[in-house]
Amino acid sequence: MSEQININTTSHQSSLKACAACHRVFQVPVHWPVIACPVCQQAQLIPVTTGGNPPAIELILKPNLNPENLHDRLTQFCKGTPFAVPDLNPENLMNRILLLYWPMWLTDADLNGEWDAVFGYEYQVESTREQMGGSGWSSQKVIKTRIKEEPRKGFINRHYDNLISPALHTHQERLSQIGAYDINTMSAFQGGVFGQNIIEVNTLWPKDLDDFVKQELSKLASRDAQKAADAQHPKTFTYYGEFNNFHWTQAIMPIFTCFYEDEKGTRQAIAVNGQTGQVYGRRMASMKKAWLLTGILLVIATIIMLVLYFIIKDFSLCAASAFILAFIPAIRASTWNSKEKTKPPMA
Amino acid sequence: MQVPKYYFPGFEQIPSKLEGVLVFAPIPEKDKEQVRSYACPQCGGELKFDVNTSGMACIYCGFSAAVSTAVVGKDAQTFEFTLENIQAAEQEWETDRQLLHCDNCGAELSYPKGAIASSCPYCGSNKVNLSLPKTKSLRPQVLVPFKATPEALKPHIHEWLGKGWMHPKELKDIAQIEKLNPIYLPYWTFSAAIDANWEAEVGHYETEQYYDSSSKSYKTRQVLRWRWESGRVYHHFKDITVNGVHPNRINHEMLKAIEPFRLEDLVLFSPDYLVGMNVQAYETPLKDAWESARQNMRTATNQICHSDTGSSHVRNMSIDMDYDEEEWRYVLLPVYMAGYSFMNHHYNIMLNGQTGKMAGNKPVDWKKVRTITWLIALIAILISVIAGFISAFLSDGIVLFGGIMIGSIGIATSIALYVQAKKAERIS
Repeated sequence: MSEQININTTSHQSSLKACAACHRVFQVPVHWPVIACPVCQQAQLIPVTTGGNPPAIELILKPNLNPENLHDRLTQFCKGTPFAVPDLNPENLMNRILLLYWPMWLTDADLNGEWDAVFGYEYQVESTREQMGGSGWSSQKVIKTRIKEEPRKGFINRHYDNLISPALHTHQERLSQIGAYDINTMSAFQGGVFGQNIIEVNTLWPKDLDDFVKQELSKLASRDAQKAADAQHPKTFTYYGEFNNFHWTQAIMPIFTCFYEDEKGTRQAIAVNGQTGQVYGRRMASMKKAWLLTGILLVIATIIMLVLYFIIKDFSLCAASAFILAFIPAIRASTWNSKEKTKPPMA
Repeated sequence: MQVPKYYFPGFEQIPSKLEGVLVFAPIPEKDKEQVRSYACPQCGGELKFDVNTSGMACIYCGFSAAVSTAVVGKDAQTFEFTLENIQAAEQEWETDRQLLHCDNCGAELSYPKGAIASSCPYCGSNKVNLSLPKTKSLRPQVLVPFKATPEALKPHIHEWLGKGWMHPKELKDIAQIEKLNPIYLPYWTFSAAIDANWEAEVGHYETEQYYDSSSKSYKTRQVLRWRWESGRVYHHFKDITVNGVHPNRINHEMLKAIEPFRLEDLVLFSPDYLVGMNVQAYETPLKDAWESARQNMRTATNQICHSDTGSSHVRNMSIDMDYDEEEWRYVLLPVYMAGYSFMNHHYNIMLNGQTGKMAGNKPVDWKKVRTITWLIALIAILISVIAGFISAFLSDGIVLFGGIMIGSIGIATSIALYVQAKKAERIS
């Protein structure tokens, strides 16, 4: 596999810092004060002295969201949380917002070789539906579509551009949380970002991605072979040829991060896709608020119960109903938090 | 990208819909050679298919050679009702013509649409010239070879002629049996899965208690109660055969009588099997044959749905039926056609070339049949009349009833005998 990567040797405006908790490494502007890890929010970033230069960044996807859009997205996110913790509100989140860029690899390559496949072709058959009633049998023609599998072989000689490959081990998980990016609107990286924004440093290098990229390129070849053979369904595909002229480009994608503190004082990270505005994070409910409301309802239930006792001398059914209803807020908040805790933290 | 057209063995290049990608598909099966000469390698005489050896044999020097083909049985290739197949079946039925060129004497022969193999009437050459339909599925792919030999069948024909009191006694001895002509007849076979939902009023007997005022006690009785019920039936019909010959050409009733053919013996088609034989191409189009097969399936499904009710009392049944996995194939099945003359009249015989089952017309000795039927009727009437007298004399109604019963049975028997004789004259 011949390959080409550019190494960054000019980023003097930023320094490498790592999170003591999650060990992610970032390029942070040199003049910035000490900040917490923008991803896990659990520890401060500390300078790193070891490690080589990160690869040069060649492309950047600029964020699409302005502050108003971002505020709206966060408002929508906070809305609907029952008994939300006091810190979980859009204003607090906006005050802590930080634009982070995270890396991806874009791979270009040539494929040249033989392929062998079985494709599915649709065809139509004439079938029949019949009915028997008082007037005898009646028939109705029915056209059904079936698929026949046929072998195909051939050659492919094509160039593929901008195949997205992960630069972080958590690439796939992060995309599943905040959604994909449209990379067609990327622009050339000018370098100004180094002095203004924090950039996450890649953990995967092209040498780690050999199998992944070949597999993805084979999928592209399969799609193209299917198109060339005018087939509707892929069944099997094997590529026997060479993968040549690899070119690796590092691109960075925008993500807004912020946090709020839950009742225990733990920071909960929130991430917003800088292009689409898709928000991800846990929305914790306040158990204190829920228990307070439950207590109020219990007091009201007790008062009603006593009144009923003095009026009708029997309160068994009403009392039971009122007591059960009083616990609804606490139960609701508890089940909500249990569900939110099943969400993995920001990847 | 420059690649030879046949780079992959068994594959050829086909047009690609995308630049930079070459596509190869399996080479379609080409038509086999259309004209084959069947001359004996030893003496140059004519070769014919020999039923005894199931191979090619020379009628002059005794040379024989096996026909190389495979027994495929019921696993023989089937076809679906694709729109292409249906369209091709309709077009080829309208336009296909049967032509034969004799390679021996050069005669150009135009044969009836039905004939797909024959011998030259001028020089007697049996160089088989097949005029095959363009669509592969509409050519015979499989056939059941002849197994029963004419020599073995002839004694059975004599035995068959001698059977039955209705026929002339001397038929067996003086009937002039002609040569048995082997012919392959076209058949369609159909398979389909049906999924039928039925709804009907089903009657069930229930025991009911009632008060009998005459005996002033409670008794029980059986009452038929009707209620609406529904059910679902799946069934897979396999290899329903429909003959593909026009009724004007062959007596369908007689053909039905020599069925069934055992499709387990189906072999892959080889022109060798047709040498010295007549072969009839299909005349009933696929569409009509499928309609006929579906008629059989409808009747059978109706019966299956009735038995699914679990009662013999069913009324107002309605059925919604979906077909699936419909498949068909075109096969050739072996039949011997023969005739015999008796008292200046000609009669036909048909024999199953695989099982030897026989059917045909037989003359009826009407004088004998009429005498016996009248005799039975007269005896029955006589018994009734005598019973009437005895009844009047003894004032006993049972005797009269018995007499009338015997009389009725006798008359019915004589009518049945007459009908039977009529049928036997048509087909035995």
